[in-house]
Amino acid sequence: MIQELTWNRKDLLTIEELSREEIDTIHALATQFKTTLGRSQKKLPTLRGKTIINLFIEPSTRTRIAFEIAAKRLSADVTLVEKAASSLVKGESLRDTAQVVEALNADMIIIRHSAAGSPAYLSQIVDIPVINAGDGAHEHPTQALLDTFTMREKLGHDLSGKKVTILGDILFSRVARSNVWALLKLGAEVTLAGPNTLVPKQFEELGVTVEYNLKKALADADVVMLLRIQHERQTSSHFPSLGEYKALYGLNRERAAWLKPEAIIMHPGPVNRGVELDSSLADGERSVILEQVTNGIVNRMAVLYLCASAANQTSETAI
Amino acid sequence: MSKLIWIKNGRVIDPANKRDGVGDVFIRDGKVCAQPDAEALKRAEVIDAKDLIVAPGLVDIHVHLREPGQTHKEDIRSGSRAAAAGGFTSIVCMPNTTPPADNPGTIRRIMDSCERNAVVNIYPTGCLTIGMKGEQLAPFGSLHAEGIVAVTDDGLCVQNNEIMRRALEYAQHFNLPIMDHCQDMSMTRGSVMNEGYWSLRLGLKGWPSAAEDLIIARNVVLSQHTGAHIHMQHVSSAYGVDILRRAKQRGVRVTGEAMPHHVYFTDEACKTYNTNFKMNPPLRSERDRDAVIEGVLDGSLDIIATDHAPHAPDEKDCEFDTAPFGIIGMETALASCLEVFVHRKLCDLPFLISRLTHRPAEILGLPKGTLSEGVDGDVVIFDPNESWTVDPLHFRSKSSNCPWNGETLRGRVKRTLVAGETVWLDAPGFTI
Amino acid sequence: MSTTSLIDPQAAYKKLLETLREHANEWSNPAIVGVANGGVELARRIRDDLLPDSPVGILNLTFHRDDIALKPIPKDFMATDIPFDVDDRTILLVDDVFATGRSARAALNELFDYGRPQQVCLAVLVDIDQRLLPIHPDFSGHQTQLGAGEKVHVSLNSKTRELRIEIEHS
Repeated sequence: MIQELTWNRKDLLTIEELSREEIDTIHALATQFKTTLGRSQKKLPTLRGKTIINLFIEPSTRTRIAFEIAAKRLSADVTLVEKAASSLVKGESLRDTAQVVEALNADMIIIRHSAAGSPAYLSQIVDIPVINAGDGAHEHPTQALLDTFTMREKLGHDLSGKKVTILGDILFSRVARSNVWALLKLGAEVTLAGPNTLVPKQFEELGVTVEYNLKKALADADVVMLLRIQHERQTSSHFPSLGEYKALYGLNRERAAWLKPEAIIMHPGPVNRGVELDSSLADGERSVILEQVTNGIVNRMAVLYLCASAANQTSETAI
Repeated sequence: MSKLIWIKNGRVIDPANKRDGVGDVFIRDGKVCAQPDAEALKRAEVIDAKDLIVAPGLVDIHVHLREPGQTHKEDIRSGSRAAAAGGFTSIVCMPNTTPPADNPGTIRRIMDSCERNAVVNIYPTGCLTIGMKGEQLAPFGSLHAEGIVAVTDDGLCVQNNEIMRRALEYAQHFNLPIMDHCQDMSMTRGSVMNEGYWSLRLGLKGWPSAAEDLIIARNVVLSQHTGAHIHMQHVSSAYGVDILRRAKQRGVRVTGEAMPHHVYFTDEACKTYNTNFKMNPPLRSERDRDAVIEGVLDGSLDIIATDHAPHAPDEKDCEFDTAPFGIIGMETALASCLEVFVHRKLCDLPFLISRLTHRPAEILGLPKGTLSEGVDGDVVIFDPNESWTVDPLHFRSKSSNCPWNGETLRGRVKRTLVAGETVWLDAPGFTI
Repeated sequence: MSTTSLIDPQAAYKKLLETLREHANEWSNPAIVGVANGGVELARRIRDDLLPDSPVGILNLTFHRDDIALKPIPKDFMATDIPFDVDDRTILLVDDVFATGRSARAALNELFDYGRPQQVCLAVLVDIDQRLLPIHPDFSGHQTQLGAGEKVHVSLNSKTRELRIEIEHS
């Protein structure tokens, strides 16, 4: 089968700016990369000799490691720059840090930052590709790519008309925003659920449904995606306590019974077991949480390959 | 021998004196005067204002000049020249300098520098509380003796209602108006743009208009209670305009100002995370913008001021979250207001000029903003239709944090005179 | 830009098939692998005409190429698909055109990620001999030299089975 590929951007900054065809392209290559995971020799020479900087201004373990493994599977060299260990704590600006990274002949920057919009800002400073690994409450594009990839594996390639409920702290969630854009582009119907302080009704202007009745939000969902409730929110005014959240919105066995039997449960991790998601459900048959992790590698491989190639398109010399 | 300037052939618009028509303006020894005899006119320096508007020099009662202490952003020398280039001949500077203008020494220092460096009239304001900390009243009496025209903690709204009440009472001793930046701090912690659709979409922390409305309402209550005059700075929200409108109908002594950027842009402008669209209060929704325009038109908002807030390029060149609030506005104010109000036919030229001249002067009791006989010869001459493309690198301001960068605007200041001296001429190589 | 068809495609294919047939009995448990995209239809046709019992696979070299800096992202992508065990087989690697040998080099790398074939042979329809590596085809249907600015295009329609060989002059 011939798959048409559509890609000409060196940066992956948001899902919002991608077309459906571009998402399809990433997924097609991710599918191809997934076949290589089963080999004893997992390394491909695609990005041999390329240097990738993991610029993690905001700490992260899972995303950083997933990007690192993806890069190494493609034979790139990866160097981690963290805020604590960098000149950023000495007051160096992001511009200066980025320019230093570029002057060190890096070929690509993967940036995680607590400030929304910083990957776009970075991409205006440097010529090399910039990959957004999560910017504040704005976007986390590769998470949405792996989430929708996983849904396609489970529900079939065509997600149009599929119902996806995202439950939890939507207001502060970049994962939610990226998934909303990806799912809408792929034709799915999105419902956002949770307490109204964390799920403002105004989200409906993005083209989704906001539902405060949990039973209704779960009843006809094909996918329920839970978001991590962050402990630090306990000290803010957005919600009384983790206990209250668990009592009203935690997905437990009783509430899982409201779901359709074939519905799947997703979570971007790390899971607060017993808060937003009951342990038995996290480990249960409907859970695809670990598959999300695996798919995170191959989708990031696809993104790295595509952006590196697009950046290098200087000639169309055929051989 | 006296010096006479004859500005002729222009359309003279002097709203305070209900004057609007082609005619002459005469300035003798720096003062506006009646038509001199024919002999004197032969010796006059003639300024031909054919096809141009001749109006009283503009008055901006909300400007940050950054001197002392932050002169890498702006100083009295550069800020006053930026004012002149924008057609402003009188400006009122805010006290959030380093150190803050909460003591007579700092005010005197500002006045001294103005004398040496300024090319326009500058009136200082004093802090409302010591260090703008909102805790202890600043010495209004001593500051008044040094020449302040109002008190304000602009940028750091006084949260404590008791302090605000006492400030209002005490300020009346000296007939000092209070200017307030209306912001409930508890509702805006970490906020960087208007709360609404765009903040949700961009993942930026929202600054709800209710946080502004609450303080506007508080100020209305306290003005009613104390009888003091409170001027609401940079009103940006629809409901805030309405609170002011109703308070004025009841005769409460409150006034309000609108900003060119709040009537020109909406919060959608933040979508590229360009920090030159980050200011406080933030750009708001279309509904808010339309309400602010309506407020200017129906008088609920008395005047237009700029909140000219310079920041050095490297301070604004960063992530949206970390950039300081504020934009410069004096060199684009007239053109941007002409675009919004006059070229869209929402009001006529005399109306707009009144909001930029004698009305702001009246709010603070300044003897400015008119072409009455005997006043200082402060005049702006402009072409309301000449179109130009904004390039902040050509500004007189030290800073270039201008949201109109690259926009083409109609309305060009051709010449500005302060007490009969030309302080701005739209000609290559003009310096002063 | 113009194209001409100086090479008779049927004759080239017939010659390739005949050469292969002479050696087919030397191969142990052969399988055919087409190099995507140009070699895939050709591989299927050789299977139909010569080795009806052998499996066919597809090799995509995109991720094995050493010229990511030079090649655009392909518009059409045919995924690698090797639905059989390559160990101890003879693999007949099929491509439409042989030029520098870089594709063959990448194909060998990709192929060896799947296992350890006993033998690999390379069959191409047209050999334009611009060899830059110590690799050359074992079987070819036509050999030619291209002038400056010339490129060769092979197309094989999977439905009509129409085979075309064209030389593009720029």
